[in-house]
Amino acid sequence: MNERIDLPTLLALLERYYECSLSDEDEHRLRGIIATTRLRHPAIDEARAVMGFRRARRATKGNFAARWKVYGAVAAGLAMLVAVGITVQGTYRQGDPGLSCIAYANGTTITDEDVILGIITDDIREFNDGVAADNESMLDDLDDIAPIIDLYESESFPKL
Amino acid sequence: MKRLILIVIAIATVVAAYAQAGLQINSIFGGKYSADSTVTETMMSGNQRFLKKHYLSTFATFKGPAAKYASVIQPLVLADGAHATGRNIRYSDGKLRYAFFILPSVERNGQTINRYLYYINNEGARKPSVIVIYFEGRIRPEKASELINSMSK
Repeated sequence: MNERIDLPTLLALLERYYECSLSDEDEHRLRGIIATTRLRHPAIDEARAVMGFRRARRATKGNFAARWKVYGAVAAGLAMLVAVGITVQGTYRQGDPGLSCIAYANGTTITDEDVILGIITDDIREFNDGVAADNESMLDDLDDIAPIIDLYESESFPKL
Repeated sequence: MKRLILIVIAIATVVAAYAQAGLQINSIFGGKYSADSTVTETMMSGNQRFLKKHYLSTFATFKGPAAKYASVIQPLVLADGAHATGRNIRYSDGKLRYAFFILPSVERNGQTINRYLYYINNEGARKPSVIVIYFEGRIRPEKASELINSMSK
């Protein structure tokens, strides 16, 4: 039973309940209202205690909250799994046997293996040329430093 | 129900750890910059004859203008290289000039997969560019450097 009733009317009914002036039918109706009403008032809480509803209502509330905690935890765990699964998919995309051979150059997509191998070879050649050039530059720097080191190590360099 | 929650959390943790074995440098592959006509990206994986011949499972390269991509790629390379088991790197003028990393190997389908990451910021070239080369497979480190050297001849 979930009768719509305003607070003043309910409080008036409660007063008559305590005065034992309610009929059996009205008392039964009142118990139904007290058990289900969403209205909040200390008199309603007291009536629930008197009528034996308080403990049952708390248990229901506890069960409800506990159930939602469980649902929330399971949902969070599943959401984490989905998010990580998406990450793993992206992370290992390059190891996926289904993704075989592809290149992007000049804004176009290439799937011809020989062409792709040609691009790879060009990149590696440019890479190695760059490293070689850099090492040459490093050697040049060392050549500039070498006379200074020689001087430092020579007998003529003043010792501290 | 509590047991189910614990199982779900345990699975999520394990999968998360597995995902962390991935590399930062992965983020530049997959066609992310394919619309940029100055970018060249290649990706080979699976049963290509080139890969099988050299005991590789994946080979990928990326090349883009240094001015635009060095700042994007250098941090990714250094992040992955932080865990390298072998390295040869050179800095110049505060920038990473080149890097060769032997990354920690991973176990996949019962096999040990070795991983290699090469990077260069070719600012001195006629067309300054950054180049990333990544490859993995059963190929051993000494064979890896031989392969790269042989491919540029």
